[in-house]
Amino acid sequence: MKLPAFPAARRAVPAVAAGLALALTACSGGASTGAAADDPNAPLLVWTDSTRQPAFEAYQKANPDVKMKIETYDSAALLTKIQLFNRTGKGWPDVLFDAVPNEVASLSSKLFDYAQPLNDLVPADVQKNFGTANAGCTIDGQLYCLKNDLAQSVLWYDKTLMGEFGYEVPKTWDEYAALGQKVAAEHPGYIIGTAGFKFVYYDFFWSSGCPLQTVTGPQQVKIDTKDPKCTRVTNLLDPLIEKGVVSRSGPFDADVVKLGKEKKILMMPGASWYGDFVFKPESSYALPQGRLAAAPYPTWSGESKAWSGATGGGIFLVSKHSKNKKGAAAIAQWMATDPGVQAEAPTYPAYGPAAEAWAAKRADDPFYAENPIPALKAQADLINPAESNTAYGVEDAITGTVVAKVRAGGTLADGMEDLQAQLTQLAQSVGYAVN
Amino acid sequence: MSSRRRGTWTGLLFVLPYIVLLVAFGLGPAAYAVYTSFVVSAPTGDALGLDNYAATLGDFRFWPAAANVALFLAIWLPIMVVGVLALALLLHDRPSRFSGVMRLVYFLPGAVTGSAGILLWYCMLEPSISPFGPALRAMGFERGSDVFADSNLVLIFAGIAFITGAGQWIVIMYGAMQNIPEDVLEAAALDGAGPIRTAIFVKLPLVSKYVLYMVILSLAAGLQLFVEPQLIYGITKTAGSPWWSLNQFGYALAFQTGNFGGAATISLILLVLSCVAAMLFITRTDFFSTEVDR
Amino acid sequence: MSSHRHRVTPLRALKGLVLLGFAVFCVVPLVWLLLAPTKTDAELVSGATMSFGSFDQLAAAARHLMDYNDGVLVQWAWNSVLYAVGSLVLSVGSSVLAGYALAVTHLPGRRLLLVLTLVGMLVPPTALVLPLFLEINAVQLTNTALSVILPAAFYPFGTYLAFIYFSTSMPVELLEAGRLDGLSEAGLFWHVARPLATPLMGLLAFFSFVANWNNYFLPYVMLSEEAKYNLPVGLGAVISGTPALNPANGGSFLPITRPEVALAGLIIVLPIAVVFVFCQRYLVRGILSGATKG
Repeated sequence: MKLPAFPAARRAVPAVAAGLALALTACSGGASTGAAADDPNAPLLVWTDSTRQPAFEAYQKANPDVKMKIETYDSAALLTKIQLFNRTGKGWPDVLFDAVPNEVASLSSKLFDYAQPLNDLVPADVQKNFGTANAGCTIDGQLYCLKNDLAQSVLWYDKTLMGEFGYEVPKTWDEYAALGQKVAAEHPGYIIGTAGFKFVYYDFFWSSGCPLQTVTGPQQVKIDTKDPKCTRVTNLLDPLIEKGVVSRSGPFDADVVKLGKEKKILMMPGASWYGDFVFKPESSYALPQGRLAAAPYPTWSGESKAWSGATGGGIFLVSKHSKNKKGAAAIAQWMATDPGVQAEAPTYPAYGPAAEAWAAKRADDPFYAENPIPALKAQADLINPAESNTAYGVEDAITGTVVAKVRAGGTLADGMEDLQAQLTQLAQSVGYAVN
Repeated sequence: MSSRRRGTWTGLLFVLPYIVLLVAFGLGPAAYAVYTSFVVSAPTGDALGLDNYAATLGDFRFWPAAANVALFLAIWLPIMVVGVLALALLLHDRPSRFSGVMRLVYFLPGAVTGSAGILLWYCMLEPSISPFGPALRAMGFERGSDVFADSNLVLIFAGIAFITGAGQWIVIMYGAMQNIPEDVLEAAALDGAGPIRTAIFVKLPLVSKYVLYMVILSLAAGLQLFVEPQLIYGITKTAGSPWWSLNQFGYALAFQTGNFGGAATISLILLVLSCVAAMLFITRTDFFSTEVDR
Repeated sequence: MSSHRHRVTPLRALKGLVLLGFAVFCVVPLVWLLLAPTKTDAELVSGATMSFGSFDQLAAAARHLMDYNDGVLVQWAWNSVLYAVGSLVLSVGSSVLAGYALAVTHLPGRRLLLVLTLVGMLVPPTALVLPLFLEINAVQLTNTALSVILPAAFYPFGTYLAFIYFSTSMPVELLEAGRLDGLSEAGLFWHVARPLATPLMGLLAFFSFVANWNNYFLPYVMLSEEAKYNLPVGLGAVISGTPALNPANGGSFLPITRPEVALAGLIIVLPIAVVFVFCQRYLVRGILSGATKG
């Protein structure tokens, strides 16, 4: 019973796959074509977080003949549940929304054996429209998930304040550092970023291409905290941390929130959702209207492109155990790509055409001093592909080493050796060869 | 003799439901966990061996977690035992409506669990939003990161564990003292014993089995420390780690990487430590003896 | 009341100070939690910490929780009651019977059973997840009420407490007298032991209720259908998907923020307080005083 259909389908001429895809878009939930074991009437179990739940319900409403069951789950122990289902041979959700994109590496691994390759289940033109957004979903050449939203980093800045102080928005990290020194001298108490949170990985190390999750082959990874692409990050930030212009706390710590409320955050490199969900909310920085703007990310010296990191961004997966893979893939595809759904989504859609619809609704939000969309859009294609998803997590090791050092009054550089040791062990413990 | 046998048969009948539950949901699963801890998953298939133990003991997360737990126990256990007994004895000194209210008040913090517990204890400790803010600032803690500094964590966990854990045992101890016959206390009073002497020399010995029970279970609970560090790391994302304690480390193995074998080894190590400690206490006391034995 | 009892001696002042001092650490968090849902998310982090917001806000927070998925919250509450009461009946019944038999009858293997009970209590829950799930799955019960009720009916803590209670507070003379009166062993338990054990049952019922009402781990593992969740699992699932406690989650338009989280906590805690007050009536003093040796 275990997927007899799929390898056969893959061996068939590409034209058949394209035909399948066409049939799928033409008559969703309709008659079955080709792939034998797939039962278009098999009920579909959907697992979602609470935020995405209404959208799944909208799909059900629009497609009343699709048999769906939509359940919310606590993301904390998702991997356990999948393991338990593997033991008992049933219970897997057919469609899964996972807010932790890194987990695609585990879910597609032999150990978890859950994620279904989507190469032949999602039409080629749809895959193409994702652009580079699905890069993290592609493992050993197979597309294992569809990206829901992107958390590309941009340089957020307080336009009013920059004008008052007479500063130019930095275009390179060297300019950023130079400006930081100036701020420290001329306007002490203002900050241009934070380093005391795990996001320091995404905002700086990932963007620089520091190899912590650099997959070099199947079950092979490069981890090297002595790489110049890592040291240039510590060399950039440590002096700024020392001067106090880059905070030793994180963006959500009470003291940084207080600075935000006092309008003392001059710049903040951060994810695309910071504008709406960190700067804007009354309970967070509560920045007044007409001050915030987004600039493209600064460029590391020697790089031709202004690489971003990626602070999350959810993914949709389909179960390889599903009896109705086409139906499942259709739901995942609709969720990730439907312009109606994505235009209302809280965060930047990964799917290009949907992102247009999302952007159109936000272009003239009076909260922003100028339209942040161009910067977000530019960075959406520039998430540094050097780093990708791995079956080990990086966040806890980052927190326990470099972040812990910075928060305790030391430097990022102090924690790099421990970081190397911890990541190497973590990677090896889940079966990676580290080089 | 016949009545005695009759008693035995009825006794067996009485414990039977419990034995079924014990085997089905306690010992059976535990035995399976022991088995799991020896199953080593290799690319070639599963084999039996000690590799899981070697991997666990050699992991960079194991020994720091063991040291954290040891320090936690050293601080928390004495506070717990002395604190619970002192509060229960004080409450029992003059039972009244006041003591009933107090027991409820002492119990409720432990009933706040899950997300609300996370929110609550974070907000109690973050100086900028805590009602204890002035006190925290007076102690030199200006910012959250001062409070949640590495060196304070064990004290924070011990404090939360005491406030949330003491109530339950105070209720039990108080209940136990309620069962001390009035005439015993009256006799003590007639002998001229004051409240303190009565408490220490009369009441405490009479509830000693409960005290021992509390010590054993608290020791195990301390060894298996999980909720407090998980809670504080869960909301700060910076204070401590997901493997600050041994039980957390086991949880991370099982739940983050699906390594049930590795997780089982940690559970087993904790279980053996708890049992050894329990047996040490029990064999030195008459914990299991009943009036029937005499 | 003789006048000297009301005199404030240094000792009594100290006693009150200790009791009230600890109470402050318990009450302040509870009051904070009561006040939190009356404020907006912004007021919670910037306003005066112990201030009251408004009833409108409280109503809004309640509405936000209730609106979630067409009031599935009510279903969860009902499930919680069902699971907690189901486990309560089975766990208190089995443990009181077993504790009684262990304490007053000549049971072969009594000591072994006590040791195993203790071991059963000391097993870290992490170790039991996988085996329990496989077991429940083998009998086709996953995702049913029984999958939560049955494993929770295993209550070694209660059995042990009952054992201690009967072995310290159950006068053998009373049982002998019952036997002489011609009572059967079952009759002895029902007519002599059970009435004496009312405080014990109150205590066990309360602890069992709290443990199962708050149970997160077991239902989380066993249940995979939203309509079957209990309150802690359901609320956990809602809250974990929002940035309320974890801003690093990114954005969400769901109106589930910190005041809603606090309210969710209260929804779980308030029934516990009510049950405590109810059970307190059974923890009365003096049932045993004078019953023996009098």
